[in-house]
Amino acid sequence: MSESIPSTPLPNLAAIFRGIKAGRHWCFGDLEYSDLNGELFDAYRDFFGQLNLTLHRDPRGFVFATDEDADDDKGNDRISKYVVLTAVWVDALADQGRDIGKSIFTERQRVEDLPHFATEGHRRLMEQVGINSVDELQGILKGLERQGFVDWSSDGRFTPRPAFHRFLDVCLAAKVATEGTDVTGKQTGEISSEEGLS
Amino acid sequence: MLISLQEAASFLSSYHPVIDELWRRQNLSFSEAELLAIIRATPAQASPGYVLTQLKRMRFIAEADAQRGEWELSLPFVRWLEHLQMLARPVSSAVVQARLTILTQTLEAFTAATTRNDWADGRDNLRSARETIQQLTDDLAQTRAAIATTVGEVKSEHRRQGAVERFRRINRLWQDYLLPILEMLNPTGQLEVLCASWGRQLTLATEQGFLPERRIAERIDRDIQYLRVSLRQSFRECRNEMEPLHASLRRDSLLAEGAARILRQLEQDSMVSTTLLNSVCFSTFRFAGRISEEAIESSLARVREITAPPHLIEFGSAQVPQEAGDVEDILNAVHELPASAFPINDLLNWLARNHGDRDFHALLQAFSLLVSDTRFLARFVAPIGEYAIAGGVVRCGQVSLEFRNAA
Repeated sequence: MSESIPSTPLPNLAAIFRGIKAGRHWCFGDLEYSDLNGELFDAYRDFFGQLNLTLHRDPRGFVFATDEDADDDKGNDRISKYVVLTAVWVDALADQGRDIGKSIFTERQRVEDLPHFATEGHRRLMEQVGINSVDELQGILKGLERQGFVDWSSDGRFTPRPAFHRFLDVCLAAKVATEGTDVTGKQTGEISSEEGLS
Repeated sequence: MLISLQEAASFLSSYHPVIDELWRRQNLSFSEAELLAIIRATPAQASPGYVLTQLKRMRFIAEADAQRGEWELSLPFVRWLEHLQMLARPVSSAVVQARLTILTQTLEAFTAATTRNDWADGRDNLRSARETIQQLTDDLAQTRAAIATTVGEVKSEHRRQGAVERFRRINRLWQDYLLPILEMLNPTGQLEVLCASWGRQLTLATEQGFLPERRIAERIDRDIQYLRVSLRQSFRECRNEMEPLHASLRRDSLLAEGAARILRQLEQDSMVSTTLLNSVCFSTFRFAGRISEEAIESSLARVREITAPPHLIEFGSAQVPQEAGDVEDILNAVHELPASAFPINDLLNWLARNHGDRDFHALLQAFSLLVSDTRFLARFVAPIGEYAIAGGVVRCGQVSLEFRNAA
């Protein structure tokens, strides 16, 4: 048996619980974010901890939960699409010499302006995970709204929210994974150009 | 053969378009034929051969590679042009190290001169020390200016250079110039130890009457203090210039390299590493057993002392076989219990103990009917626990059951 339920009343508990079930990420500006990110964070975390749900508070301005019982392989196709669309986005911005973080988090972007299908190489990679057109890319980005990763405005433009950092973190993790081993876990022995950084 | 200033200035005045062109291509070296072509392309009055000879004679150009017969702008001339353009170059740690070595040697010589009471030698040592300290201060100012210029260039080159290349450039500055300044700031580092030693030796020399005037020592002390201040100021300014750009480029560079890895792997293996995908896990609240979400929400509502009755647990027909007989039997068994058997403190435990041989779904259905039966009063209490019942697992708070009229 785990520890007892905290006695502090927790606002918006039902809405938050429903959100957790849907994989919701609450960002700065969300009603629930101010509840979750406030002084009751520990109480929420303890409460959901008893359901084997771990609540995470990210200093970049979002809160989300993970499920300890989650089946790792479940939803990998969907997550593959998210990761690849992010990696292609980063790769294209780097090719253009753009400021990556600033460009991705630009407000009110048009899907048509995204660089995902601008080159043959990127188009092929997108198709490999089943995103074959700008319309399908739009569908994926719309899906991300439900989980709090992007906002869509009525004029058909979208704005990535702070939680989108989670996908960028995968790119950072891939880089870290290559310092000694590649992403498949093989030893590479590659020396990083960033060695010796402070 | 010395070149007079007037002669050099006159030549530059007449043939500056040639110098401009060579300066524009300052990172290249040229054969004589190429140099002649460059001279011909400018509106020079004299013959190209004459201009080339003068360029060599006045040492504006120097041999870059004697074997291949290539020439380039001579280094002192390049430095002078950079000085005119206010193009400062950062001073390398090797140069700074060499100056510290000179300062150490000068201190040793000054100490020996003090011992010998050789004021003429001592005076030369002090002059040399002041010059070296002044040079160090100038070096820092030059490094400071060079870093500011490079940071500006890197910021403005974002359209032409990728994040990784720009990061390499700023990282090189960081490592080659900023970190050595930081090392010089170290209170137990070479510079501080040297300054302290100079301070002690000057005090001793003053006390022994070796220095004819106290202000000679005070002057060097002031120079050393000025160097220390300049050092701190240089470090602060260089860091302020570079840190935000360094951090942002470092992150962009890591992102770009990581993204490239992911895409390369996708291309090679037609998939993304499962380890990476699992790092973006989402919460998808599920139960190890087959109890419905409504049931757990009801349970949670009870735990939170929400007084509304729990929703009925509804099982989909595809998942739950119609074990009506079992359900009825369980309900009847509970109804037939004597009053003394109530309250049942742990209903799920009681069901497991007394009806564990029945169908799992039937047990759960009976459980849901009992807790929502108005004749009974069900209380859900913390903590949440796991119950192994009839081959399944239910995660739920402890539920006690009693007759409502008996309560």
